[in-house]
Amino acid sequence: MSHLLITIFLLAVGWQVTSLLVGLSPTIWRIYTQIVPSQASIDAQALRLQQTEVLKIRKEMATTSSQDEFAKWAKLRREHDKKVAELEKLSETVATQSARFKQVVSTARWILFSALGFFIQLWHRKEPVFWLPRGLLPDYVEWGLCFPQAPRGSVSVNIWSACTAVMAGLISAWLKPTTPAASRVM
Amino acid sequence: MADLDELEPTLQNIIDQKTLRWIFVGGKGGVGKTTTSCSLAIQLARARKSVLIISTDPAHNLSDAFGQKFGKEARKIDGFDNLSAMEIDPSGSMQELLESSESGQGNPLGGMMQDLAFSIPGVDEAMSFAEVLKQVKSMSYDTIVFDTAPTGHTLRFLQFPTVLEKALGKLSQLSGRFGPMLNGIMGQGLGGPSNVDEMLQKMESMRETISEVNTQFKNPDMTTFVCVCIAEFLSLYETERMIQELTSYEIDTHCIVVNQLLYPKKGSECEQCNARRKMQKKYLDQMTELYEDFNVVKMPLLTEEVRGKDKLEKFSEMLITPFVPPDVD
Repeated sequence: MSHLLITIFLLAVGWQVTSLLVGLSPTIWRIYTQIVPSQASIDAQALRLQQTEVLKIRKEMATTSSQDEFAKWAKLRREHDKKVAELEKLSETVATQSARFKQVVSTARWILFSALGFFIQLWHRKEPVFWLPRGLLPDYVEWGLCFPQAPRGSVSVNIWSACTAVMAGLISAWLKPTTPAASRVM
Repeated sequence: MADLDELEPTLQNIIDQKTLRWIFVGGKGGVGKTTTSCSLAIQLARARKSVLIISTDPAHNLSDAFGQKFGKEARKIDGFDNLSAMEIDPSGSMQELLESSESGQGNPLGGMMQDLAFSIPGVDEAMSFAEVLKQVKSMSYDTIVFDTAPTGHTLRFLQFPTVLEKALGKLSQLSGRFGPMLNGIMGQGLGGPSNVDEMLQKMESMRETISEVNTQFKNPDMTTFVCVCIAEFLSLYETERMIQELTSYEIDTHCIVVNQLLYPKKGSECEQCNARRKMQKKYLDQMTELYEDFNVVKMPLLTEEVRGKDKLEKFSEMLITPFVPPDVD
C-alpha cells in the first residue's frame, strides 16, 4: 500500500514538473534536432543554413549601390528573392514538424502521468492508500475520505490522487508565480 | 560592332513568330507605351492577315495617337486595311451592363449596384478581360496587341484569369448549396427565380473560356510581353520588378524597348543633353549586362511628337531596323 501512496504522489509531482517542458519546448526542439538524426533535424539544419545565406545576401545588397551598379544589384536581388522563397517553404516544413513533435511530447506526458494515474485509480479503487488512526476524525469525514470504494477508515486512491494533484499544483504555482498553475481537473 | 553574344536589338523576332496571338505592351507612365504598341501593331499588320490593337486606358490614347475616334467596337484604322483598333471605356461599358440588367424591373437595388460597380477598383481590368474573352471565342484576328494602362495594374489584369477561375470555382460550389435559397430571397427583387440560375450558368461557361485564356497567356508561343522603359533609374527599377513578376506568373517576356534616348552631336555644347546622355549611357550599359537574354531595342528621342499615321510608321521602322545615330560621342 505504501508504494501506491508514493506512486500516486510521484505521478502528481511528475505532471507538474513536466509542465516545465511546455515552457522549454523551443530549447527541447533545438536539442532534439541537434542530437537525434531524423528528417526533422535535417530540415531544421537546412533552415538555419538558409537563414545565414539570406542574411549574407542582404549584407551584400546593402553595400551595392542600386544606382551605380544596377545590374549587379538586380542580380543580387533576384537571388535574394529566390532564397527568401525557399526560406519560407523551409520554415513551413519545420514549423509543422516541430508542432508534431510538441504533440507527441505532450501526448507522451499525458499517457505517462495522467492516463496512468486514471488507470491506477481504477485498478486499485478498492484498496486503501493508508489507514487513518481510529477515531481521529468524525464519521462523515471518514466517509468522505474513503469515497467511493475504499474501506471505511482509510483514504481511497481517488481522494489521495486529488490531494496530491492539488498540492503539487499549489506548490508549483508558488514556486513559479509567473506561470499559470497547472491544475488537473478530476 | 555587332556583338554576336547579344540578341539582336530589334522586335523582328516578334514579327517572325507567327504563332503569337497576344502581345502585351506595358510599362510605367510616360515611357512611350502607346507609341510603341501602335508602331508594333503597324509592323505586325504588314506580316499578318489581321491585327487588332486594344486599349483600356480611359485616357483614349489610341484615338489621340492616330487622330481618329475609336470605340468599343473594333474599327479599321484609316489608311490600313488589316489593322483595327478598339478602345474600351470601362465606365461606359459598366453603365450599359447595368442598364441592360435592370431594364423593365426598376428595382431599388439597381442604383446601389451602380455605385458599387464604379467604386470597385479594377473594373477596367474586368471589362478589358471581357473583351479578351470575346476575342478568344471569335478568333477573328491573327494577333492582338494590348496597350495596357499606365497605372501598373496590368499585372493584376494578367493575374485576373487565375483569380477569377478560383472565384468561379468557389461560386459554383456555393451555388449548388445555396442556389435554391438565393432564388427564394432574391427572386422577388430581381424579377423571377430564373435570374440567379441564368447568372450562374453564364459564369460557368465563362469559367471554361477563362481557363482557356489562362493557358494561352502562359504559353510562350502564343503570348509575350514587351516592356517599355526609358534609361533612368526608376524606370529601370520598375521594369526589373515587372519582369520578375511576369516570370512568377509564367508569362513570357523577352523584349525591352528603351525610348527617348538622347544622341547629342559630337561637340555639342548643350549641358543638359550631354549630362543626360552620360546618365542614359550608364543605365544602358547596366541593362546590357543584366538583360543578356532579352532583345533590347533602343529608340531615339525625336524632335517632334510621334502622332499620326505617317510619323508612327516612320517610328515603327526603327523597331525593326536599329537606329544608327549620326556622329555621336
